[in-house]
Amino acid sequence: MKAHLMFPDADFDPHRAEPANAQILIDDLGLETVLTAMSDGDQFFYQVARSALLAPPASPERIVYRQQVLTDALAHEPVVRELYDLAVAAIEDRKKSFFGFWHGSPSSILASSVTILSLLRGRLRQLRAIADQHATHFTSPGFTAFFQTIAAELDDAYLDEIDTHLEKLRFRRGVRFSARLGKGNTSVDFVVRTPHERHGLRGLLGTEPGPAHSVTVPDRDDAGAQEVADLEGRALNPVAEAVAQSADHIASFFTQLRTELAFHLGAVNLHRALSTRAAPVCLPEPAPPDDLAFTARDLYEMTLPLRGTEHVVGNDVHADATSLIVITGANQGGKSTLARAIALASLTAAAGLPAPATALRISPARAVFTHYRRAEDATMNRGKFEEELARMREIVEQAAPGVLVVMNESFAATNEREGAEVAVPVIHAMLDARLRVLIVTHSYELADQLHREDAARALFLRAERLPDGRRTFRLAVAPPQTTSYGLDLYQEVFADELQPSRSAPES
Amino acid sequence: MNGPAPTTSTPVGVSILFPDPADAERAEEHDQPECVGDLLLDQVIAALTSRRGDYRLAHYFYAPLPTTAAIDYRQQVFHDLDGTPSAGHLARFGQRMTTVRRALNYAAEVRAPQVSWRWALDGATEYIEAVRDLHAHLTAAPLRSAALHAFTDYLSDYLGSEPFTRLAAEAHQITGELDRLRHSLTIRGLRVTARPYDEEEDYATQVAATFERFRHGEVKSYQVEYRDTSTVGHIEAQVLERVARLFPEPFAMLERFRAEHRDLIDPTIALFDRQAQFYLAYLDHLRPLRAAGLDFCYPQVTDAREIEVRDTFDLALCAKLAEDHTPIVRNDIRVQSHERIIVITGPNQGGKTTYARTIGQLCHLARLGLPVPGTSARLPLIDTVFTHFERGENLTDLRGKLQDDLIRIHDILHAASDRSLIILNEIFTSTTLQDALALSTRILEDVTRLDALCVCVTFIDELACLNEKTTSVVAGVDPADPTIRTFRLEPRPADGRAYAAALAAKHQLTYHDITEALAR
Repeated sequence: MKAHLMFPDADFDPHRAEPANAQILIDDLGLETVLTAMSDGDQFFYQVARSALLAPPASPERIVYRQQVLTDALAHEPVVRELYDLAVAAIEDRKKSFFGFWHGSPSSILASSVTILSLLRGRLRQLRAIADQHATHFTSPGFTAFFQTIAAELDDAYLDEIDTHLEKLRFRRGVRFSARLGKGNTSVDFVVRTPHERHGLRGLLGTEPGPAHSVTVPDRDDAGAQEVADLEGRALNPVAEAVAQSADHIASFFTQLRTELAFHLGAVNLHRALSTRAAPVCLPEPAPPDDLAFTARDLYEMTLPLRGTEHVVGNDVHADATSLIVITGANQGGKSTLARAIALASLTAAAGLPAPATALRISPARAVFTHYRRAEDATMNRGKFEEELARMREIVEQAAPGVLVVMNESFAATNEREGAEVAVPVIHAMLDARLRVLIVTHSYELADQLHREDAARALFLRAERLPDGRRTFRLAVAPPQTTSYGLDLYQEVFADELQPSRSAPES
Repeated sequence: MNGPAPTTSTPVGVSILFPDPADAERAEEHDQPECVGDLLLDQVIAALTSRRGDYRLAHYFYAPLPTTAAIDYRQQVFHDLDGTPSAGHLARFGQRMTTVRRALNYAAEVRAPQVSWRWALDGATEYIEAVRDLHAHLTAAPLRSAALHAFTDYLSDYLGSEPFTRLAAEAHQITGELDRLRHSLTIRGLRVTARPYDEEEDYATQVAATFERFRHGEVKSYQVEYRDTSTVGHIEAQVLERVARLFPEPFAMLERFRAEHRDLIDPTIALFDRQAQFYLAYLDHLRPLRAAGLDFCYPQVTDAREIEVRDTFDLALCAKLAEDHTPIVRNDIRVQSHERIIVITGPNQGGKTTYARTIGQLCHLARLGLPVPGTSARLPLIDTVFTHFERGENLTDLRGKLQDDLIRIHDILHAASDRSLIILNEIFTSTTLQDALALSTRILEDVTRLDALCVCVTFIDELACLNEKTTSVVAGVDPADPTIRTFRLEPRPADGRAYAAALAAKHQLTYHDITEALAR
């Protein structure tokens, strides 16, 4: 019995190893905000969301499969929450009674397992009831298959079968097992046989046909009682194990169900967080990797509204069949923001999550790498530059065709000429190896050289600056310009020194 | 009843240690000879027999063989076993026989009848298989020794004999019957009921099948470990008795088997099992020494009085040295046919006593048919090794010690023959040099008249050239630093005291040193 709410044909593994640059990615792109919105305070949701976001994308068909399940979850959130709570309760049932296992004897293991199994049987019945009640309202292939599986596998006959076992496992009429004679004629090779139900007169009298010879341990014969207990224990060993493992199997099913539902509920949380802040959300259309698709309408940086920013500006981006995007323009004009927006769009689309746009068609990157200018920039320019080079090398070692490399003011820790001399071959090599590169830069030298040499496969965006110096946070398709209007910024910062103070106390 | 005991009532067919099996019994009566302690062979024998206590092998190491033919009888067996697969097969046979004895002992001790009978049956089965396997190997192996050939023939006759074939057939049949039995037990509270076999399904499998649909991956194991114990509790014994009531015929057969085959181990085979350990123990003892690079060879034992041994060493000492990773010095021994007395002189702690012991060990070990330390050896057939080593000072009565020494030597000379080896280690140390010289000279002249072989360790250099029958060997020192011993014993005239001066200088005890020190 499988949940299969993330993939049509496989389980989602939340313990998959994260990529080596996971923490860098989280820090540079502000992913914590996204994860917080998805988890809404729940640590389990957080782990699942994190794992899903950092996992490589599935094929477009499988992403669509997941989106369809999400659509159902959005439409029927209370039912999904009910399923989730049921899974949690089942896992708790298993954990609560676990301590009995350490008492050692198969009899005690059996008793604990039977208790757990009874509780889990109750949960299975509840699951079946939910399915019976709500299955017809769900339309996604994922949920439809899920409910069908429950109806088929947890039908009345099966649930009765479980009940029968639970009764037999109490061994009310004693434990019967077959044996043969081993070393020194001791009885060995115990196999417990199916307990009989004895009906009718014979059942009442407690007799059965055939010869029978008994030994009863006398009162106060502790050693003898221990012998019988050991004998019973040896016989019950495989049965106890079968029951314990069965309980484990059921618990593992509920664990998997919980994990996959946690993802979707997290996605629902995210959807709600964005919608309630009037930020547009859509389910993106995934395209095959070779298409190099990227077309977005009103694309914005997802964490901004989540962090409370109002009036977030969206941008349209047409970058199909484009492997290089170069973003230049005025300081604080929204360049880094757009870069982040694009990277976040790729990650969320890959995971089957809602996208921050009114429409998005994208070939999600196989992985995302960030090469950002580090905050502690102050001294030793030469040392800083080498540090950047080392980091770039690390990225090269982990990258492969199909990944997206986001460079935010890379190689700025040196003069423009040297920086361009280093950066251009790096970028060319990456592009030729079929990586996608997104670079935000102030270096006219770099941007200009790329403009001259790579225009065919590149998109050049420039942050807008109005004549009066205000920024619109819109980026237009435009070639790089020689100035980034640093003067505007200077004016802003030194405003009170350049102009006489208006609040002079005495005139 | 622990180890294998050849029953002296039934005659034994073959002995692989003695051409005449009757000698095997006589060997039992041999006590430890006096020389064994002095030669430190008691340590070697203790090490050899340390994990084989049940076999009581020590006696075999005390009893010397009287003829070169008997020695050859044993050496031939060694050749068949030394470094061949046969040694492993014999060792395995020994292990299995130990198992057989354990099973039969347990059958005799345990009180529950059905358990006892079964142990006897299982012991018999193990015995039958062990003997058959041994026979199969022995007939196929390229053996050259008369001993093993004789034993193999004996074994062939035994395996084909009517009693054995009947034993094997019955054991096989009853075991088969018992193995086929299936019964069922029901435990309800404190009551255990034995019933005929229940055809119902394996319940654990059924349970697992029901829940298989939830399987997600590997789950952990929950089985409790039970130690395998062959002791049977009193309740289990009673349960077994109830089970036996379900199958009266097989258990009746089992009971009859036990009654009819109480003494099933053939005495010759039991003796073989024990005597094989003699060879295996010694070869096992040599293994680590060989691995450390020490050589052993099979000596040529002759009626002549010559000794010619190369690269030999003290067997008792070498084990200790090897443990401490100290290199072991090897020596040659050469006594020509006209020589009889080896006089060993030289510095203290130079290896003189070790050398003397080595000669004694070689002669004793050779007489047991054993391989000896060295790369080649020619040794005389000695009838007895007599040793006179320090017996511990009786401090109150020095005159008493001298008297003791003389009495002991007198007894030795009285008992020795011209085929004996006499080892005298530093005799007459408790008297003046002049007396010691006179007494030693007289003793050695007596020895010369006796024409026995003699090794004499002494500090009296003059004895080294006493007569034409003496030969001199000196413990060597490093020419560069005479305080360093080489532990090599070299045939050359006695040295004098050159080394003593060097020793004194080293410890600043020359005349000059002392004078200077005292003048302060």
